Formats: sequence, C-alpha cells, structure tokens
Amino acid sequence: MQTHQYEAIIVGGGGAGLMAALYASRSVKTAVISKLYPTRSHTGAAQGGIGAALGNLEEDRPEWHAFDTVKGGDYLSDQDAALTLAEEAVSAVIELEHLGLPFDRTPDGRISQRRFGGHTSNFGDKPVRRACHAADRTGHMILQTLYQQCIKNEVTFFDEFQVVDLIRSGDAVVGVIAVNIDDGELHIFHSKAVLFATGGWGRVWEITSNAHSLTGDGNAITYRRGVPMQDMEFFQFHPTGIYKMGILITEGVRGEGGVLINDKGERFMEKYAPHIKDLASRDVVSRAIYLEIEAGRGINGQRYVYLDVTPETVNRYLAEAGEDRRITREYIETKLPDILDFCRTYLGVDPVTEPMPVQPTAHYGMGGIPTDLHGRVVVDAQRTPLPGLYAAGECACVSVHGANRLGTNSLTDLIVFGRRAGKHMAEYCQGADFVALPENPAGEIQEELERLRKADGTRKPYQIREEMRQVMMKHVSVFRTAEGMQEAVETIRRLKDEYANNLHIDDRGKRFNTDLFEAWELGCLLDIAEVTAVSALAREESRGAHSRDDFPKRNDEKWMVHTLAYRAADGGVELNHKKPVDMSLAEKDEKFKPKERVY
Amino acid sequence: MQVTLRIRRFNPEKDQKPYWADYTLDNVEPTDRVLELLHRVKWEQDGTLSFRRSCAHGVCGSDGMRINGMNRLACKVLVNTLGEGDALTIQIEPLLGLRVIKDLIVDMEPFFEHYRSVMPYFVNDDPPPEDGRERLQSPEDRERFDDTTKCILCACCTTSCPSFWANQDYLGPAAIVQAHRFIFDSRDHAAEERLKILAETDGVWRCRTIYNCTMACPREIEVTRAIGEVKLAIARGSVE
Amino acid sequence: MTALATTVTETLRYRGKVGQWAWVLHRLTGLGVIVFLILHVVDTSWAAFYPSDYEQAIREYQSPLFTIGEFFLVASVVFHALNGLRIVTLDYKPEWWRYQERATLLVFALTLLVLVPTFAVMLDHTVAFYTSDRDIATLDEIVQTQSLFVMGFVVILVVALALSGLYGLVTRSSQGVKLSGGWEATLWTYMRVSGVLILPLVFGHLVLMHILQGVFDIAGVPELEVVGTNAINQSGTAVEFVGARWNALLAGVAVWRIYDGLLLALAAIHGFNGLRYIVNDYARSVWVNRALNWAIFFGVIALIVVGAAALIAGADETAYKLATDMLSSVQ
Repeated sequence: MQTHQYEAIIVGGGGAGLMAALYASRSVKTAVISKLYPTRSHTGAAQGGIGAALGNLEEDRPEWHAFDTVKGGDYLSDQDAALTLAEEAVSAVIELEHLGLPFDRTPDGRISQRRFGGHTSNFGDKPVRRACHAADRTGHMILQTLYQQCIKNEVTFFDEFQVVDLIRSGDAVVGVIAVNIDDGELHIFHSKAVLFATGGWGRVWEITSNAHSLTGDGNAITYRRGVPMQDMEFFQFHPTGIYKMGILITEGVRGEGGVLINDKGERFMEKYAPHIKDLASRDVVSRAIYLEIEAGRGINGQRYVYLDVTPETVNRYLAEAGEDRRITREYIETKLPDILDFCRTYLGVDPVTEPMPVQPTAHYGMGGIPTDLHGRVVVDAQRTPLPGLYAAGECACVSVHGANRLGTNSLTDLIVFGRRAGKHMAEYCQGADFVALPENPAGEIQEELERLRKADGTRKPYQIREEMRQVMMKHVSVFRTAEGMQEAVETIRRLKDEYANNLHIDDRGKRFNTDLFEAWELGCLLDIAEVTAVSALAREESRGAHSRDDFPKRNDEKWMVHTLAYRAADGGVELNHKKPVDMSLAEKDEKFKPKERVY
Repeated sequence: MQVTLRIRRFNPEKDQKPYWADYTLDNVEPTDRVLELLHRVKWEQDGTLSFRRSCAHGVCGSDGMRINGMNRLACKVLVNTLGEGDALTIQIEPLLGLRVIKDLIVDMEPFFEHYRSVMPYFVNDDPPPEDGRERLQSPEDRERFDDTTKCILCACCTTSCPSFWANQDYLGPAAIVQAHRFIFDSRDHAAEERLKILAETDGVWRCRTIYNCTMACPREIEVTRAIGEVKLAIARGSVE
Repeated sequence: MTALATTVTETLRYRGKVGQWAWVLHRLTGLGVIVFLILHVVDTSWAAFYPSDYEQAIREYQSPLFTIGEFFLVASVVFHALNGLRIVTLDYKPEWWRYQERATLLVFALTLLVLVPTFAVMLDHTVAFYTSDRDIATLDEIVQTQSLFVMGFVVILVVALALSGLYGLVTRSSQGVKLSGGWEATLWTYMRVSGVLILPLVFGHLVLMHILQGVFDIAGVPELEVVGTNAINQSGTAVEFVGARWNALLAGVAVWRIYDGLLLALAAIHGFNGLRYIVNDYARSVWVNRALNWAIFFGVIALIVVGAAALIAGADETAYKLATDMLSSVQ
C-alpha cells in the first residue's frame, strides 16, 4: 500500500476543488484527487451563468444580490454568508476573466450579463441582468479555465482515484484513503488538511439533471466519520428538465424571454408569480409546474409542460409587457447553442420553431457538509470547526442557499467559497504540523471493499438503486407528506439492509472495476437518501424546496433553524435542530427580515 | 425493438487478446441512447463490462468510443440514428490509438500529455486594468475563437485521425484545437510560443486534411478548420 | 511496420467519409507517380549518356506490362493533381471546410471526366500499336534490365540502413529525423505552391506525351514530327526524339529544356517530400526512419543532378547513331 504525503489534499476536481487547488498550491504542497478526469466534472454541465453584481448593463449592487439570495433561500440562508457571496462574487468573476475565461461580451467589450430567476434590482423591484455568461456553457468555461490554470501552475493531480475514506486521528483530520481505479490498489494520502469538493448527490432521485458520478461520496464519507449533514431536506428540483431524461434546460432560456405554457396554451406562471412570472425562483416554478400537471393541465394530460422560446412567442410576450427588446432565431442560436443541440439530439425537437417538453428534475443539494465562511467544516450547533477539514461547493453547506438556491449562485458559490477555502487551508497548513497516521488506517475500508468485491447475494446494485431512486422521486421530491416520507425512510432502511447482507456484484477483478465502485457509490447514495428523508420528515413546515401538503405554511417561530443530521451509533440518523440561522443583515436592515415570499 | 450490442471486450487480467461479445436487449426504445443500452448490459446481464461515463448528455466527454465504425459519445447517439427494424446490431469498440485498459476504457494519459504540451492555458502577464475590472474584448474578438472553446477533451477527434493511428507522437487534433482557442484569443500573449510548438514535425504538419476529426467531433467543432488556421498562422508568421 | 498495418486495417474498418478515401488515394497515387518519376528521370538521362540503353528502355515501355502501367500512371497523375488542388484550396481557405465532401466528389467526377476521353485516345494508340507488326520487347528482356533498377533500390536501402545503424551505434541517438519547425513550414508551403505550379506543366506533358503522341510514337516510327517542335525524327529513335525536343529553339531559347527542368525540380522535391511524409508516418523504428530519410534526402539531390546534367548535355547525332544501331540490332 502506497503512502503519499501532501500538506493539502483536495478531493474532487470540479469548480470548487480546482479553485481551492489554485489558491492552496501557491504556498503549500497540494494534490487534487478526483475520481474522474477533472474536466469530466459536473461543473462543466452548468449552463446559464454565474451571478455577480457587476452592473455592466444596468445598475446593480451586491446588497441586492444578497437580498435576492436570502429571499430565494426562503430566509434559511445564513445572511453573513449571503452577503459574503454577493460581495466577493464581483471580484471572483473578474478574477475568472483575468484567468482567461471567455465570457460573452457586451458591445463595449465588458462581460455580458443576462436575467435569471429570482435575481432582481432594488430589493425585488424588477428582474436584473446579473448572470455573467459564456453562451449556455458557462460552467464548461469555468471548469476548463480553472483546469487550464492548474496545469499552468503545475498542480499535482491523481486522476481516476476514488477517495473512499477519511482518516481521523483523535480530533485531527490527517488524510484520506483512495483507490487507484486503474489497478484497484489502495493509497494512503497523509495530509495536514483535507478539502472535500465532491459535488452533489442528485443520483438519489429517479429524474435528475445530475451526472452518474454525482453520488454524494464526500458527504457520505464525512458523515460516516462523525460530521453532521446540514439541511439535507432541501434539495432543489429544477423546473425545466427534458421530459423523462432530466437533462437540464437552463433558466437562461427564460432569462432570454422563454415562457412556460400548459396544455391550454396559458402562460401559467402569471398566476403563481404575477410580478416576475417565469423568472420566479426555482422552487416556486417547480411547484407551479407540478400543480399544473396534477390539475390535468400537463401537455396532453402527460407529466410535462412546454417551455417555449420560439421568437414568435417570446416577442409576443415582450410586446405585451411593453418591452422594446425583440429576439430572432439567430439570437437564440448564439445565446443557447447547447440547449438547441440537446433538444435536437435527444428529442428531435427544434426549440427555434417548437416548444420543449419539460418537467422538474432533481438538480442541486442546498444542504451538505456544514462549513463556516472560510470553508472550515463545523460540527455542531455552536459552529465549532473540525481542525484540518474543509468543504466547498455543492457538497458543502455554508449555508448560503438556505432552503432554495437561486440560479447562477451555484457557480458563484464554487468560486467564492472555493477560493476562500483554498486560501484558508493554505494558511492553516503553513501553521500546522503533520499529525501521525493512526495504526492501519485503511483496515476498515479495505475490509468493506473486499466484502463488496466478493458480494455474492441476490440483489444487484442497480436493482437496489432503482428502487431507492423511485421511492425518493415519489415521496421526497417537489411535494411531500408525512406518510410518503415515512414510507421512503422505511424503504431506504430495507434497501440498506439488503445492501449490507444480500448484495451481488459480477466483477471480482482489480482492474478498473466499475462494478465495484458503482456498488460502493450506492452505499453513499443510500446513506444520503436516508439522511434526506429523515431530515425532511422531521421538518414540519413548508420552506423553499421543502414543500409539505400536511404543513403548507412556513413556520418561522419554530423552524428558523438549520437541521443537523448525525450518524447515530446504531447506524441510524440523529437530528439536531439547535443551529440558528445567521440574521446579521436583518438586524441592521428591515428589508432582510423574513416576510412572505412573493414574486 | 430488439438490439444486439456487439462489444469489443478485453480484460488483461484474464484475456490473452480482445474478443467480440454479443448481448441482446429487448424492449429497446428507438430514442434510447447507446449509453443506456451499455448500462442495461452492465446492470442486467454482465457487471464486468467496463466503460467510462458521467454526465450522459454530451458535455463531460467520458464516453467516447467507436460505435458502428465511427467515433462518437455513447450518450449522444440515439438508437434510431443507427438503423431501424425489429432487430438491430450495434458494434462498439474502444477508441483506437490509445492503449486499452479494459473493455471500452482506454489509457487517456498520452492524450492529456499532448494536451498539456501546447500550453493550454491563458497567458497574459500584463497587470490587469487599473480599475480592477475585466480586460476588455470586443464581441468580434471573442467570436474569433468561440468554436474551439467548446472542446470537452473526449478524444473522439484525435483517435479518428489516421495520422494519429500511425504515429502517436502526433499531437493530434484535440491538442491543436486547445492551442487554437488561445492563439486566437486577443487577450492572450503566448501565441508565438504555441505556434512554435505546433510547427514542429509532430505538430500541425501531420494533419493531412482528411476531415475524420471534424466528422467525429460530438461538439461540432470545425476541427480541421481550426488546424488549418493554425497552419496558416505558422506559414504566414502571424495570427491575422 | 505495425504503424502501417494498423493504418491499413483501421482505415478499412473506420467509417471515415470521402475525405478519408481521398487521402488514401492521394497517398497511393503519389507513391505510384514518384516511383515512375525516378525511373523516368534516370532512364531519360540515358538519352544523353547511354543512348542505346535509353532506346532499350523505350522499347520496354512499349511492352504490355508498361502499357498497363501507363494507364495507371495517367489516372494517378490526374487524380493526384485534382485532389491536390482541392487540398490546397481548403488549406488556404479552411473556412470552406463545409464544401470538402462535395469538393471530393467533384474531384472524383472530374478525374473520371478527364480520364474517359484520355483513355479513349490512349487506347486508340495502344490498339494501333499492337495490331501493327511492330516488334515488342519480351518479358525476359524486361526482367533482365528492370531488375537492375530493383537491385539499385535495394542496394540504396541496404546502404542507408547500414549507415543509419552505424550512426546509431556511434551516437546512440534515439531520435528519428525531425526537421525544425521552420523547415516543416517551408516544405508545407512548398508542397502547395509547387503542386499548383506543376499542374500546367504536368498536364501539358500529359497532352504531349500520352494523348497527342505516346510512347509508341517516340521510337520505331521514322520521319515523324516531334510533337511540340518543327523537328522531324529522322531516325525514328527515341534518342533523336528526345534530342530534337531539347534542341528545338523558340526565339533562340531552348524552351523544352527549361520546361523539363522546371518540371523535374518541382516534381522531384514535391514527390520526395511526399515520400518523407509517408516515411515519417509509418517508419517508426528509429534506424529505419533515419535510413529512409537519408535515402530520400540524397535521392532527391541525385535525381535532380542526374536529370539536370542530361538536360544540359542533350543528345546529338552521335547518340542518334548509337541508338539507331541498337534498334537495328534487336529488330
């Protein structure tokens, strides 16, 4: 078993991981461990834009961005975090430009910006152009740019290494254990600090925009090693996924003027968000679509509605709204090329002339590994840091997105908090010494992997996984009830039992054993599904992405707290609801006080 | 419909040499992606079948492979584009020119080595604008290199190139595309150095204007055009 | 050789579009033409230096084996020229790539269009020759003389390999021959410029020597007018045919010598550099790669020197006489 020593270890090669790596590697010996080639990371699938109040096309201010973020988060966002995000977004986006990111440009050569759901000027007044973009492949450009800069700075990468465990020694975090997927050998990475930037866990649900690789590895690993999972009940369903496939259709489509249409040809968002209509925040729009479908107004009675960005429709509504702007076919082609490509490839639908069939798709986890503003993982309601452990990006919960994330804020989060975590981590490593590794740190995980590799029961991983995904889609998605969630929890527990006692995999080899790693990832998914369902069941209110039929109202009296879910000694989930939401902005400014959310 | 996947398999742990294996799948929808069929084989029939995949919609570049004789992303090919009828056979092989690690998985390291060799990163050591804002770039200057920013490093182009099949020292289309993205970026300052690298024997000159790469690119990048522009820039000693 | 084998098998298996097939044909036709060019320059130089051998060579070119070869040669030249023009155009206008498939089909169509009437005329010459009672070289003769060429090639290769091996042992160099980027760029441009410049010359040569008159007219037909001149080939020898051409003056200038000289220089460097491309693609072993590169480098120099020397020396009455003697001796 090989042992490597790096001062800083970064797990995950997406936007947050690479940003942190760029910063950490400037002063300490850093390695990035990624189960994919970093350019395969799902940051690359982000489409519409990265939010920052640059004000290149109209007046904009970070406070407004912070306000939208807090309101969008249904007041569960930590307000200090939201302000940090909004303020540092500006310099972060400028930094990306300086690193070479090819943003689209305004006629005067500045970074081009467009509208996005929930982003407004002047505290909710009207939609504002805040999403800095590069066509509809902003995430791709961010990922490529950061990876390129890592190559320039000669950052060390361990590509296609699956991190499977975190090594703790007493109170300290001293490294991780990874498997070289190529030959199946275990490697121990001894470090002063570890940053998890492993992305999301959308694969818990049946319909998702997430990559197959998004199985919540970092969350499961830390959870199993005593770190709580925060606010896991809040999982965003993006309103516009391609029907049945879940492939994301960016909110930028609506930012450019696209509208949602039901079977009767109505622009139904006028009912649900009379003010900013189709550009309401995602939870609102997803619920609206769901309600339309439930009321039988899905297209042809099916479980989808239309997203229409044909110039005729868009221009008609623009005219109706008294706007001067008009769009053309060519404009759509240049602004949304990938969306057109997806629809033409997968649906045979040309969005320039026909509407696209869409349905809500599991998209983004607002919750995750709790951290402070420096990316340090905090492990209790008092925000006590766990020395040497960091998290950033989707797997982390700062919490900036609260109960519902605004579009474009995920990319902003990656860059702002990836950067902060990288910086802090480097400082920490410079002041810390290596703590000795414990005896046989890989023993436990080695045993588990061997068990999986030789698993000879009757249930294949995909059978368990599909059952989990279906039950989560049915009961822990856009609308939830106590009975449904209870059923989900029970199903997941049964599946966990089958996973532990009756699993079967085919591939007994060492080399590139994807069968084995899919099984291991399933273990992560099951843990996370359980945490999500249990957390959701306990929160008896409706807030942001967590919408309950049996508790339809938000309850600020009781539930202005973050959920912390710990792994109990018996393997179950133990909840703590004592961590308050940071309200520092509301203390100074009335406008940030929780109120009813109207768009 | 019924589809038979004819897959080129090889596991060096136990196979002497590669072989063809057939898997028959029922109830295939014409709109299924080939990747979904591979998953069905792996999940329902034989878990040892190995291939890379991630995003499943053509943006991550993991699942480049040779499908019915052409390099494609398995997640971007629908069954109905490969043929009709009740019984269809689809032939799937690993990309050519890179060592096969297992089944459809090839060693990407030489590919990324070529990529890294062309300085695929932004270089501009001038201090950024004093107002602390972005560098300016006109929409026209931005448009100049738009096409080559789309590359996802899937290797479909490079491994479709007969010059690369013969000689893996050739940097290959993907690396040249990556260099092009910076050479023609008005903000970048290292065009000359990159052109020097690409002017070597194993650089652009090995391109014979065959167009296999352009046809193979799942992102519809005008690959041969980009290579051509780099050749001209070298021949003329200027990027304009 | 594995590189070549892989390329062959995978080109057959990979479903590339017409561009790929055009490339395959371009390589094959180029290879064919360069082999012929080497033979042609060497034996034409004999008109100046070894008249009777030249006469023998032309006799053999009039035999069936070479007649078939001539059809392939003409087809190769026509395709290579037209496809080359397509590549040059697309290389200098890369933004026109969308038309490449159509352009390739056009190249195939034009090749056929040119070849059909050309072959008709050539066939006419051929039929006329074989139905006449003229004397035809035997296979034995051909094998006897041409095997010298084959042996020449083999000797050159063996010497090159030996020297390369020796060089490798002494210097321990593990690199094949790689030119500097500047040279590669220059040669790339040269291939395109020369390709275009050769076009009128080569098509002119084609019309004169394969359509208006052919290999059957060069020798064995006394008192025929030498095409492109006012001269009459009194002796009916190939040597006089060539001599008369080179000696013909237009406004005091030996235009055909200049014409042939240009064709020689442009085509030889173009052809040998093309050969170098092929070698560097497929000769992956360092020794072999180096040997072949050297052979190519000295080969092209030798060929141009030999050709130029012949052009300068020319052929005169003495040579005609030797050729006539030779012809009468075999008939």
